[in-house]
Amino acid sequence: MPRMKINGAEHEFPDEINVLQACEQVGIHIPHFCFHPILKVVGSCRMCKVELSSKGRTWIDISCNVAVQDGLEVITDSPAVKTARQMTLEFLLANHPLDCPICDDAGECQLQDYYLDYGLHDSRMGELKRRKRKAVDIGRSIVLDNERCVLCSRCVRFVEEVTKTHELGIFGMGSKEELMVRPGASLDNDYAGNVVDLCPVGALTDKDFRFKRRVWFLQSVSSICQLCSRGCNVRIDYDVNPFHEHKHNIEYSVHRTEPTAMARIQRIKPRFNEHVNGHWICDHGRYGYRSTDSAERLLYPLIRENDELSKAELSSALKQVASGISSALSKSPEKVAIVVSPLLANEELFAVFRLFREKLNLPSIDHKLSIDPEWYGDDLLRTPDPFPNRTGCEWIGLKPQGNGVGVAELNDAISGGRVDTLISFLADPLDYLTEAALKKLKRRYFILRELPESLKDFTDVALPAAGWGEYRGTFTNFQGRIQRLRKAFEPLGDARPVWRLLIDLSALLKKPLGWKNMNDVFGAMCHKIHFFNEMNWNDIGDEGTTIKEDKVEVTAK
Amino acid sequence: MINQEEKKIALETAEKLKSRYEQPKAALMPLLYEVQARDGYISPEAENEVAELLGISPTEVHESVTFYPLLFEKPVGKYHIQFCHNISCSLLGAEPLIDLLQKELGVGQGEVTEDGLFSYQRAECLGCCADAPVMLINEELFGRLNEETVRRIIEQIRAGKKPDNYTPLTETNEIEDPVLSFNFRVPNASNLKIAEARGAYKAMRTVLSEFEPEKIIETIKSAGLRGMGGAGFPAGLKWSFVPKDPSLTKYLCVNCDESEPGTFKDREIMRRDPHRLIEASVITAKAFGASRAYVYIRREFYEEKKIFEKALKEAYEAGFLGENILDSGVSVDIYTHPGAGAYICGEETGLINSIEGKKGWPRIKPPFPAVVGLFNKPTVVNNVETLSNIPYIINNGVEAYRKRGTEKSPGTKLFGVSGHVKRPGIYELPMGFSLRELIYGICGGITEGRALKAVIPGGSSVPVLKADEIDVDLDFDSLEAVGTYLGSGGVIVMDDSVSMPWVLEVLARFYAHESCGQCTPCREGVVWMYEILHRMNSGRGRKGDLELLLDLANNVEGQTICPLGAAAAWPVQAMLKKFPDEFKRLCR
Repeated sequence: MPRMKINGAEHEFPDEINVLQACEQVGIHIPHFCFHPILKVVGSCRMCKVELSSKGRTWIDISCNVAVQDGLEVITDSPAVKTARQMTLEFLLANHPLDCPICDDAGECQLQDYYLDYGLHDSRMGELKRRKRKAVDIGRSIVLDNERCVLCSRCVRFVEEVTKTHELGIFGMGSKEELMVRPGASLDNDYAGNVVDLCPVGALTDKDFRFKRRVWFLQSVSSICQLCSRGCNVRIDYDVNPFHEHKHNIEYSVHRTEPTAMARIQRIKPRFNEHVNGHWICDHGRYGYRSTDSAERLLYPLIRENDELSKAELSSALKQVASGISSALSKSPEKVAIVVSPLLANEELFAVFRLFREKLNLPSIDHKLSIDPEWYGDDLLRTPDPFPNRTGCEWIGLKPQGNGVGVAELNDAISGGRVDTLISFLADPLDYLTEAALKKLKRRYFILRELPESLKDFTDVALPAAGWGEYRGTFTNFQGRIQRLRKAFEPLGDARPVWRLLIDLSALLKKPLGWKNMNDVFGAMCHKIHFFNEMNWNDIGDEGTTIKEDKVEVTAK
Repeated sequence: MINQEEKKIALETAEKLKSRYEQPKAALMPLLYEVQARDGYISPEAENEVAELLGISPTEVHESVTFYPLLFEKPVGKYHIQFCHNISCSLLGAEPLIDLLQKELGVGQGEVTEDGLFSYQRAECLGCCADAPVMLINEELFGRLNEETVRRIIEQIRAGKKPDNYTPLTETNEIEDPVLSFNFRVPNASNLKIAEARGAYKAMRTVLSEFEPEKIIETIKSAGLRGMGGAGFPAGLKWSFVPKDPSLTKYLCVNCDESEPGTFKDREIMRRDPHRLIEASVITAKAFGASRAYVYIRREFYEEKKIFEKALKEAYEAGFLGENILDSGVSVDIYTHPGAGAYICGEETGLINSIEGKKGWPRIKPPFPAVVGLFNKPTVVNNVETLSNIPYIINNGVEAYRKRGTEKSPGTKLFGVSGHVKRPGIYELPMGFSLRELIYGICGGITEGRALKAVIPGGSSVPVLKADEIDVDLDFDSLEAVGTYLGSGGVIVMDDSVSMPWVLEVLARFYAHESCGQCTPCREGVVWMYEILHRMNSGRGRKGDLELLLDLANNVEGQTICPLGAAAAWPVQAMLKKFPDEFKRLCR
């Protein structure tokens, strides 16, 4: 462990890091564009200069290519360092178009930030600025502006070293060179969106976010991607103030009805977690956020009356479900089948477990197994399982018991008359049942975020479930890592998290769960399910926690 | 469309080329030249073909094709002309000749004449400055051009005749006991028989039979041999940095990318005494345990490359190269590798990347090539002239070598003199020779009876000397003492008719063109400096331009990955300091 002085204070550092990282470790940010901890060090932006002294010699060098070493002294704020950074900035800005007012990156642009820290000069560039290609469509989701590009090559190294897809290169030579996709290629790999996050300036922007919001209007909440079993750590950037609604969104929002005429989630950004997803997320996760603000959201309970589905009060819908369950149970507990999707949070799964298995003793509880045949995993992040919480289902034990019926036997059980009531949580029953079986059921209660058209004829009661961003809870990924989902905003309409619906339902069934809020559910779960080992909410932290050693996988890139 | 037969040939060529390198990708440049020779240019289709043949991404191929000026993205004329517009040629009237050429051809730069016969591009220094003004037509060099010869050459080609070529053999001098120019005045010394009769390969035999590697390194160290490419780094010391582990593959790269404007010494060795370099390379390879050497030859040295490759063939046939040379147990293979018109590839790590089939972007240091170099193996990069001293040192001993020169700059050196002197040429002189004596004695003084105004003593990068500063000795220390450098020994002489702001613009244009674009200060700052100078010389100078120019130069110098930034900054700093009035006049 080398010992090294930074601005006079001595610290100890791990061997494998460089001076730039060492400074960050002690809370001193070194400005940089090209350095990225995962990518090969190229030392080309020249922004991260510091003053180094060793053995009586003092010199200025880039901090990204100097390893920490015993006896080295680092000064990060000397006048010489400031001048060096200021000049590097002046060079970078010389031909920069300064089109911040129309640049999506404004507000989170390193050039802007460093200019405030080190620049604040008036431009001395009296020549005509070099023109380069702007607003070039280089892929499904990416737009390139070469005049803004600082040629840090992070994106090029990303497609070389991480995705190994090689779509991007820096072509030409010297001042005329440009970042571009190679002729005939398009930046369409499954991880392409990450280049926007890697870009320190507004050269690579995301079509999905282009001109949508000024970033300073955004609020953020830490969350977990729900689109495969890895549970990549993400940040939801959202805006609940309709005043910021941009006219470009109107077309999207006219399909929305009350209570809010706007999309709240604006974009998804990866959140670093070395154990799960490293720095990246896949495009499926990045752009798969629309369901929360979808125009198709089920906002109010629907109940079948006179063979018509109609809007109902939540309390009356729940009453109908409760009385249906009671009359089924009066014949036999085997008449009721519960199917949950591994889309439910641990707390929701546990509420299902407590009410239907422990309180009502139902044997036929199972989680959905089928996977969309179009889904695929890869070597980077996407896992072969598109469900975020299959591990949670297994841990909590949402499986048939005794002579209970599982999802696989459900069709037969229904046609044989063993089951006549189905309660399905976030799973489209048509994924696992035939129409005939659905038709034959006496009572069909679905807790859903969207009610597909195809299901309407087979629904007796539909209850609206809260969507991603609308509730908090935990998920257990394929590694056995328990991770937290935080709430960004209130559920739309009457939508509620499943545990909340079940608390109310349990009261109507005269089997009260005895919980008031999510903390109660979480506490009960950690007490009951040994995998959760009496943990408390704060133990989980932003990186999640793992308690089941044998399921822990190697660190993700 | 490429037909099947062509595809088959390309495949066979690729296989042959790949076998020369540890990584197939390194065959990129030679293979692209094969394709360019076949198709006339490199089409996107051909880029994909090459990528497939080498098992690399087409992106990498496209990066190289767009980076190197001599890889053509679109068809050129049957006769492609590269006309030098750099300093030595411009001093002798290149610009009016380029105007004339353009008028004669009726096309602009980069365009092809309607009959498909001609195209032209301006070229940076072609490395034969004593012959200025010069142009290359395809692979043939035409020097000492004037209006009449340019017109005649074009006419003769149009008439389907072989054009007259009046380029004289570069002037040399006679020196007692020459180290480097021993064979320069001997006809056909590139022929092995003639060279061997004059002592070639004697030092190699001695070293192979009598010298342990350590002894070679010690000999060169005590001789004090310094790098002649410009930096003057002690050669023996450089070799001693290579790890001694015999299980490691090591490489020698010989730098013949001679492109520093005003420099043309390596070219003379390549074409007049190639066996000296081959012999020296084998000795060097043994010194640090390399078994492969790559001689990186700039593309514009077509003739020199041919001569050198013929010499290589002879050396192989004589058993001086290849497996177990002369039963010594030492095996050395030497391959040539072509450059493609990028000055930056003369920087040692740019050169290494270029051999590896990448853009010639220099690498950040550490690691240094002696530890992580070509194909990530320990590598020594030495200049042609540096190595060519070695046979003499081995044959005659350290004392004989040190008899001339100074303590810190021992031996002799090749000085290439160009510009306004009566006898431009390549001259071997003892280190410490007087600059005044070189200009007024050996080169016969200034042309047309004019007075001397300024001298750039070591290639275009080094700070200029005024006429009253030429009483200085030509060696590393003496020149450093007067604020300039020995550099590559390319002496550019300017008479009193020359405008210094114009000279500086020509130099700045060169560095702006050659900046590789990798790191910020050079990519942005060097072009910026050129733009200011161009504006000033166009009569649009402003107050504050000089202060800005100097500030930019000061902040490019030393702030870059490689020394190109400094090389671009030094001329600016020196010219502004030494000729302030000429610049001030332009900024009102």
